[in-house]
Amino acid sequence: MDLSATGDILLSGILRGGLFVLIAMGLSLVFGVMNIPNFAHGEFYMLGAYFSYYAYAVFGLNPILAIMAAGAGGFVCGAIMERTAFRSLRVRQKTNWVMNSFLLTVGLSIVLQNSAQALVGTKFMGISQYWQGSVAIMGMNVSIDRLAGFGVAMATVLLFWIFLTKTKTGNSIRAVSEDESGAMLVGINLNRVYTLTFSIACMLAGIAGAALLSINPAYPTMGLAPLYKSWFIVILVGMGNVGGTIIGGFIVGMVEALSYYNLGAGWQDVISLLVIIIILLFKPSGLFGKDVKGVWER
Amino acid sequence: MIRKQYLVILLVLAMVVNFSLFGCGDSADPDPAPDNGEPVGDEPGQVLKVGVLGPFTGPNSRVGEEFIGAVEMAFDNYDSTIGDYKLEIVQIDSQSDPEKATRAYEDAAIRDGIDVSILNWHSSVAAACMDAAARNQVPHFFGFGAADIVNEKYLGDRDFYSYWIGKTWPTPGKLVQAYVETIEQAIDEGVWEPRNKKAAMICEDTDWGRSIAAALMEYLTDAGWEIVAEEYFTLGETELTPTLLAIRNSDASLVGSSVASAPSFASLVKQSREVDLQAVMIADGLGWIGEWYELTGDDSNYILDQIPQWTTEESKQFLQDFEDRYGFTPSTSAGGLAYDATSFFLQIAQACYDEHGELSRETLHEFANARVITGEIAFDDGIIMEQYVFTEESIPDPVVGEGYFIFPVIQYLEGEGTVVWPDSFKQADFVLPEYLR
Amino acid sequence: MMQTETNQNLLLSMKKKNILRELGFTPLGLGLLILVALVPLFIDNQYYLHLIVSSLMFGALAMGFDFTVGYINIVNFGYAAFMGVGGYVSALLATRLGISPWIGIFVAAAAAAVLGFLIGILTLRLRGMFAAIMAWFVGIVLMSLASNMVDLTRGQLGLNVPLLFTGSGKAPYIYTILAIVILTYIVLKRMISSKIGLAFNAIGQDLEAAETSGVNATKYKVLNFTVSCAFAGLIGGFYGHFVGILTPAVLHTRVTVEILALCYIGGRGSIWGGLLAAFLIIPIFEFLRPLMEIRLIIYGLLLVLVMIFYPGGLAQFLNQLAFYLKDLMPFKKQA
Repeated sequence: MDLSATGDILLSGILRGGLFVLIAMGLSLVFGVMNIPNFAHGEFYMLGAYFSYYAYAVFGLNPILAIMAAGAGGFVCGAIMERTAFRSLRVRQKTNWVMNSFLLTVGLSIVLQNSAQALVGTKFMGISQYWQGSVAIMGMNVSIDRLAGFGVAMATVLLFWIFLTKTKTGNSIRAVSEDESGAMLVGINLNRVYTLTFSIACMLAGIAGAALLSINPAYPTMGLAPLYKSWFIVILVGMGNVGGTIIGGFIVGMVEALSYYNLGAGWQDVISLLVIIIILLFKPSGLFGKDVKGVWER
Repeated sequence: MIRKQYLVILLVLAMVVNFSLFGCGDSADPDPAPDNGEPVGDEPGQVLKVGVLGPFTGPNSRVGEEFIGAVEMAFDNYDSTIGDYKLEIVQIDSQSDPEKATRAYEDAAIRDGIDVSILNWHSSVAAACMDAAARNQVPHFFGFGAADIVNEKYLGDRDFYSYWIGKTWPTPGKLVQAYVETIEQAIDEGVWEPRNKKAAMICEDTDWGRSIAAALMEYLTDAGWEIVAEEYFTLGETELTPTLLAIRNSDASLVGSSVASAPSFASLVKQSREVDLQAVMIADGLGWIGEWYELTGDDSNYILDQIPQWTTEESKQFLQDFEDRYGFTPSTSAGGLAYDATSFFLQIAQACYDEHGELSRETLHEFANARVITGEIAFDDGIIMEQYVFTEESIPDPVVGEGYFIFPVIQYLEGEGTVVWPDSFKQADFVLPEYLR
Repeated sequence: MMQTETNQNLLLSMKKKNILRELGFTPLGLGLLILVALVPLFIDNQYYLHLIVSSLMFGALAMGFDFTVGYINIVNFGYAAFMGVGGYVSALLATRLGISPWIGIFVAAAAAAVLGFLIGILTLRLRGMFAAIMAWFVGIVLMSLASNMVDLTRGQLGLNVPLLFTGSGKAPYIYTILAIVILTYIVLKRMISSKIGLAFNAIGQDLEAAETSGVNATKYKVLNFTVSCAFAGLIGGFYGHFVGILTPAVLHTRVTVEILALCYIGGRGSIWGGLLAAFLIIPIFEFLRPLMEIRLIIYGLLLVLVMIFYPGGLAQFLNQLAFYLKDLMPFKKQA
């Protein structure tokens, strides 16, 4: 591999990883705070893509506004979903929550996918780009569109991180993720935190779908691939470790870029699995996972 | 107590079995279809039930919609009548899944009692339904499923599969030679002086992508090209820069690609410009994606593709009529070719009726094997191709070549495709991309 | 709670009863299977027969799936991949080496079992959700191997598979898959009603408690996983020789979700619930075909509603129904 290619691969891996981070973060957050292994996370990514398509290409909004609209749309859908489905399940099912909620999300994913198909059909709704032009970085041409997508992702991650660590609401979310009953004792309204957490996670997925619209046009079954990637990252860094997903996303981005370049496309799933098997053999709780056992152990 | 539980379970199950066996299916059809597979419609003034096999639900439901539109329009030309027979359409939903398609086909063959069936989209569905058609002795005309697996199966047991009559679409490999001819012509005429004769392939890992790549590589090697890279990526992958970088670094001056999924194809086209690929691009099938220009923008400039066009007057008329009637634009394949295939079938049915005075599974099967696959009957009134004909050598594919079944090579510029090959259809000369000048 | 109660009831009753009972059958359950077996004698409609084969096939898969999820509480989210592996193994043995499918499907079962065993020892030491997600990853990788190893599997081009029975109708397939269903049911029921089954239940209900009381949880989990995968392989082998073509799509997550839905709607921890659900859902959805996507929305909603409001599924419903009927007809007890 010559030197110029190394730079290209590095850049491609970073661009790729940045968006992985955004998608995986929401999944990790929902798991860490609510103990829901969300199989419908990819569907919110899909909703985000549709929202931004309609906002940008149909209603002619400015790209940034379109992406924000998608985030807002994801937030609202997430809130509705949490209030109706998950709250009902929480009231009724005390035992075996992790597995039951997982299966609930499987059902939701079927409903959302097919509703999208019934409503808008199987047409690919995409755009060629939000922003025109390209710039040369390290000898490689990168379209401004992709850079902007990456920028949006990083800005969102940063804002979210500040929210989580610096605000009172953010602190209560973290408190719940660490110790549910303790949080309840100090007067945190669990139901409110749950709804907020789920909505934020869906918002993050929605923004990711919107930011990637020029690469991934909106269509009903588009959510499975990003879902798989996000799960991969979450397992890699340790379940429920929100901070770790940032590093994990970039690692996966790099690994995939490298395996693509050296082994050819089509083998990256196999390589990724090997990596994860090796990590799990030596550190079953994931790269940054704590060895403390949670309720989701069973 | 346990005993009673099982009693209830038994009752419910018996009801279910009952329901599924004798239930609502038959209520829709007061006169149950004959169980032994005997065709209905021996008497004059009868109905000819024509099954249309296609993906009417699922990821490819758009194809199904176009199929039905094309079939209805072709039937209208005959006023849905052949001789004493009134034609009736029975939709057979493959759901893009071979197992479900077989089920649906059996349903149509037995419960609906179809006399004959036409069309079909996927190769895997074709391979599964060939058996269903043969078992039920229903002749099936002109399925699309192009991949080699269909040919292999058919040629493996021609007697048994004689019910699978002809394919609308030849094995994809047979068509791609046109690209090589276009490029060699450009080189001969001095339009392009390639810096080397190195070529690379980047295709989606599907039956389609693999067949195209294999055939293209064969023709290119024959023409003196060296294949320096061959990449296949997973269905739906959209991050292709690393792969494209590898291809750029192989210094290929010609890149062949074939992808079925729209997001992948759009990404491939856009990212090949992003990594600044210094090569002439073949993107086989880009134009099949209705929204291709919306997705790729001007990054699709100079790309070569092979797509039949609405060139003739009749085809433009069909396009217009179709849009007026159904409110959406059909593709030349699922719309145009399906219309031609249906018209060809109707011509055969008419000829069969004239000869036998009767239309049934037996007569159509016998007639098709005696007259159609031998090349005796050809179809010249197509709107997409000049002539559809089968011969002993070509079967199950139609005869491929100029004057028969051929896709012109087109080059894209600002969202428009112009025919650059063959000379008889040519609208303009091949233009060298500006980044290679 | 309901489930364990009935399981224990089952256990108790089985000890008392005859051989049939020991094999996990009630006379009436057996009668039902005989009914299915008699169908081909009276009905010559190949479509209905195909529907019965599909129902039996997916019912058998749901039973195997339930064996893991309903007892040791682990979702094998790569179940369709194990089935696909079975399908490919048997198909390749037949096409490459000319080995009879009748031997092939058992080799397929063994291959899937070995694979399940290996994945089991790797992942089942981990927490439940890890195991589920890892099984899912393995499934995805197996699917990408099936499409990448073109020389062997022909990838997306599809592999032509010789049929089990040529020429004739579907009736022989019904008998074959019925035999597989019965075998699956007997083996699974036998294991559950044995000492091993008690360990499964203990692990499924409270892993920690089971471990403190000296149960080697990992050993039992791996055993369970392996057996369940073996049946997936067996049925997968049959699937290939029944449909006549295999594509990597058979290994897709979508298929696992289908099996999972049957198992859950049928009722976890019952084994027969999934079979019953298959006989209900597959025909009903077949008749709902004109509804297009709406049908799948109903399917998803059904799964969601069952999960929230009626997690015991059909099996629990029927058990409760039986209780009510008992109350309504006290005289029957005397008779």
